[in-house]
Amino acid sequence: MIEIKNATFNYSAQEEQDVPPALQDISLTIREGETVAIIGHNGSGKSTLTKLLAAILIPQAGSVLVDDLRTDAGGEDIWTIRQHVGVVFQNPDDQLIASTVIDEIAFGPENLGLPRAEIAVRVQEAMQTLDLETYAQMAISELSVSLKQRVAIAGVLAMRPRYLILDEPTTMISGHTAQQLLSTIQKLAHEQGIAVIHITHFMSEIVSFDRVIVMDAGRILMDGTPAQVFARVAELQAVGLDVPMVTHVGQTLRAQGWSQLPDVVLTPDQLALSVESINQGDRAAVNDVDGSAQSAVSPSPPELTVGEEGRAALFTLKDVSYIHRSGTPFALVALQQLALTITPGSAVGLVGPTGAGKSTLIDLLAGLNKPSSGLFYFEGTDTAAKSFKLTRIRSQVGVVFQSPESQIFEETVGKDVSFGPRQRKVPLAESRRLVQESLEAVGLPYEDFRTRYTYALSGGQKRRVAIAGVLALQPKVIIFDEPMAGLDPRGRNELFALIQALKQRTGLTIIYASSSLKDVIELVDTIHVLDKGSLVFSGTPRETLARAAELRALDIALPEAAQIALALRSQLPTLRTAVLDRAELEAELLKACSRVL
Amino acid sequence: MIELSRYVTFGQYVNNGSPLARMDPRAKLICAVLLIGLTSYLSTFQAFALCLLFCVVLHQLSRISIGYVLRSLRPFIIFLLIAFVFEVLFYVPPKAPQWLWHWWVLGITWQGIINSILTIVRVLFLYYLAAMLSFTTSMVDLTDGMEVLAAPLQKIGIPINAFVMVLVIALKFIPIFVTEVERLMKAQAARGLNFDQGNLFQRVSKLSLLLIPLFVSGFKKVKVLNVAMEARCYGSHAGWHRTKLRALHFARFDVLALTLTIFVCVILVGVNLLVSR
Amino acid sequence: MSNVSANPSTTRPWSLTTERIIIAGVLAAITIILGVVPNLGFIPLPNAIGSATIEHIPTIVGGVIAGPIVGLISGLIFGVLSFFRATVPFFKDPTVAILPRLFIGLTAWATFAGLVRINRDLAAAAAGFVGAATNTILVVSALIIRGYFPAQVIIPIVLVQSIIEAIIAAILTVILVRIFYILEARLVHAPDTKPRDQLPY
Ligand SMILES: Nc1ncnc2c1ncn2[C@@H]1O[C@H](COP(=O)(O)OP(=O)(O)OP(=O)(O)O)[C@@H](O)[C@H]1O
Ligand SMILES: Nc1ncnc2c1ncn2[C@@H]1O[C@H](COP(=O)(O)OP(=O)(O)OP(=O)(O)O)[C@@H](O)[C@H]1O
Ligand SMILES: [Mg+2]
Ligand SMILES: [Mg+2]
Repeated sequence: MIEIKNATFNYSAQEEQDVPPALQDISLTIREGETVAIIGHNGSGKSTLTKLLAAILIPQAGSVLVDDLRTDAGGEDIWTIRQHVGVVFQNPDDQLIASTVIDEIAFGPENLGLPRAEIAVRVQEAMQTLDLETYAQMAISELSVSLKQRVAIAGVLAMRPRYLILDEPTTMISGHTAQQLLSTIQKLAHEQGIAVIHITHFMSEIVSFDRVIVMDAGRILMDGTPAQVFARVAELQAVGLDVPMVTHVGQTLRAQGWSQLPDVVLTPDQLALSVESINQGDRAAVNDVDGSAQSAVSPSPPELTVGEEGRAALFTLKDVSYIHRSGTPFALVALQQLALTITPGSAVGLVGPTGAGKSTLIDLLAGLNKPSSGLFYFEGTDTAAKSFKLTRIRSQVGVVFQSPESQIFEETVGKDVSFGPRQRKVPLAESRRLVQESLEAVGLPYEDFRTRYTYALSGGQKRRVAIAGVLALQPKVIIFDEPMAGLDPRGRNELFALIQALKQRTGLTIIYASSSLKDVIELVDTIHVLDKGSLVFSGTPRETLARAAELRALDIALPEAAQIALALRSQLPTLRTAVLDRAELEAELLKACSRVL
Repeated sequence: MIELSRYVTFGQYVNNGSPLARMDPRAKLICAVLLIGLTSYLSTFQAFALCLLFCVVLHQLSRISIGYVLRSLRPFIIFLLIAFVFEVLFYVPPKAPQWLWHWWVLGITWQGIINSILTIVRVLFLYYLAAMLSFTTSMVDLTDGMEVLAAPLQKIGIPINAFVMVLVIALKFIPIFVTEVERLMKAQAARGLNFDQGNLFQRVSKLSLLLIPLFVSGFKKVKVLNVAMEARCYGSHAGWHRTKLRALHFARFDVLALTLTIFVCVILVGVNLLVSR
Repeated sequence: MSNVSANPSTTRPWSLTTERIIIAGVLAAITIILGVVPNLGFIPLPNAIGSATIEHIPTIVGGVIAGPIVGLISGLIFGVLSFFRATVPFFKDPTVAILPRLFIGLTAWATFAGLVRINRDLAAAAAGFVGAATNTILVVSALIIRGYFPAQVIIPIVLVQSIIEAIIAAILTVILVRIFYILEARLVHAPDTKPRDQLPY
């Protein structure tokens, strides 16, 4: 059992700056075998709490007891506690130490000074649990993020912890892979009695947990079952959180008179059950209307397809291939025979599972690399021509790269945002205006942020600064490479609104790459689905959604609304599943059910 | 073209299951040190010719394409040539020299030319041996072998285990940092920076735009990794010790290789002594 | 972990903590990258040797921020690396390639620890200069002692370059050490260096 009693923790230097403590007067008990989810906005103290539990930080007031050992006792106890409390941190790259998978998993047991045979047994066991045996001798740097995440978990499991803390393990992976990981973890709790503490920004992940703890500004705001917590929608939204979409849908439907629904709907299955009870009436009737119903459903609204031929394409790719590290024994084909056309002023989504080649393609589109073979035209000009300068592409295309950390390179925000204008020798006054406009466009107060150190920014702020830096270039094309990763719900909503606003600017082309359809579907006009470096298909959002089975096979996560609709399909055969957002889903649900009744 | 990862692959372990790749890293390290010492000592063409014979056998055992090894040598050729010219010009003959050409401290002698050719041959052999070691040995094996071989030093208070951990951490960070530098260069190019222009001052400031973020990212990672390692019970307090999962096994081939290498060393030293006398 | 000392390099300088091991590892990785990635470790100069190296910067920084032990380890790794990568014959000699490098971190640390009470930036600049100078002086001495070059040849060749190297090292060390302490203190706002209307932001 873990007991936290009135713990307060303050990063020492914070005091000097009048910042409230990272954790304030926290009290909490976690029993063995329990599955606990912790949610809270960026900076609410979740990661700090995990460090307190693992005896890495010692609270300044109050106490933390792990299996009746105090974390502040010192001596050997600390090592026992750290052995009992296993932590998987936010970014796998930050915590993997060794170079190969097997060495990495053995690292913990080795530190415990166990005999060799015992280490071998534990490593084997951990690899089995996480299905890593085939990768045992692989180099960690060659693994995908989701595999790295699994290795990190295995490394902790090999220490045989009683409490497993996972700090946002699913921010870097998506779709099916993430769900698989979660179910593995829950199995651990149920079969081996390990308590699981899961920190996340995704509400739908935690509905099956025993307990949900909501943190806000270093305090515990709520602590209860998922149903209890998600009943308090307004309070959650007030602290920048949200409830799963299906809970929202449930509420709307209850308000519309679906009294069979439970107070708080947590899973699509619960919706389905109550639909079934409505559905008691004869199925024959349903089948009867089925044909007409399908055709009666309004055809997808006309997407822009007219007039496209007339305009010259911005990018045209024909049979483009790209090989990383060509000419070495480690060569790797990232793009093959790719054909793609992007017109100016459009909003385009590039969707594909990890390793599909999205980032590689973006490097080509931004003029940072040249294709290994194939044709690449920019505004109708062949980029392979001798006279063509890649700087011509670069001056018109702005990129917000996958990890914002590595695209901010100046000391202060002002210097960083003004980097582009300075390179172009824009006059100072004009440059100041551009910096101010760009910062304000991304919602950062200019006066406050212009002198901030870039090292002191939070993840969400960094992403905004990165976008501001691109806006200050006044590009014609902006490319976003998975911009939402690691943001809390409020951050995601704000960024979403920002991109939506950019889309309204005339003449701006937006390219948005992501491994899930979630945000793409509402932002873009055309979606290109990539897999293993080639184009699988292109289409409007609605056309894309209609191919749900294919997408699932590619491990591309569907938007929540479509997922819910698909889950209800067996109960409501007339339900149209290609729904773009919640409002549409609710409308369809009401429509489908009123037809049934 | 901004692609850095390719440079880091040169000199990387090629896991092809060859006898050399399977050899015990301790034996391999001892052999490599012996051979490197040997080539630094040799000073006659006859001995080097025999050495070449030995390297042919070695190469057969490694099953690595000779083309790949030579290709990785290509960038150095120009340096080698420059170094050759310098060597010849600055050669200081021991006795009254037979100048072919002479001016101030510069001069050309036959002796100088022969000597410089010898050094080039020596450098080529050294380079080849070092490359062979890194092509056939994974870094993990290498650090393991070093740790075991250097274990006696730990007893006299030199922190070998900590030093090996430094290497392990460095190996972990190299690919991460390379990716980061590559991304930084891309981000800077995308925002209009041109790397190959400018005077000395501008070049320094451009370089620092890469260097400083690299250090910043390093400083930050220190804190995070420190937490991650401590959470997994890595300590540096008195009385704490680690065990190892990896065990090294001396096989018959290792003993054979070691004996053969010592034998070759003795023969070559003998030949060298005979010829130079 | 929670009690970060105000001055990491001067508290118990010779003990090896986990944090110091990691710092040494990170700096070793940076040294290796500066050596391996083309053009990253060099600044091209218009002179005989052709370029000023900055590969010793991580070693200097290691000595300054984490004490002599880290300086020593970084220097050793730097030395071994330049030994293995060397294409010119005289750098295939350990007394030229490795031995001198062991002292870079030590002198940089000693300079910094001695001057830090007066002013940290000054101490860092001096440490950078002394560290780079240690490198040049010891390598050149080794070259002369081992008889690769006569003194009157080598000294004029490297003189200008080594002064530039030392100045670059001093500047970079000041910047990097300052950033290290900004991170350590978690400062948020930078002071403006010029009047507003002369800044591009
Ligand atoms: N090493 C540190 N030193 C000083 N302050 C810190 C440190 N780490 C975090 N903080 C501060 O403590 C507060 C809580 O941070 P914490 O990392 O626990 O938040 P979090 O809930 O995990 O956020 P996120 O969702 O972004 O991961 C924040 O205000 C943060 O700025
Ligand atoms: N610099 C590189 N060197 C070598 N291989 C690379 C490099 N960058 C990417 N790859 C490989 O190329 C393939 C495509 O990678 P890419 O990053 O383009 O995929 P992605 O669709 O962006 O994936 P993710 O969603 O994970 O970002 C992957 O197999 C990847 O391992
Ligand atoms: Mg966190
Ligand atoms: Mg990507």
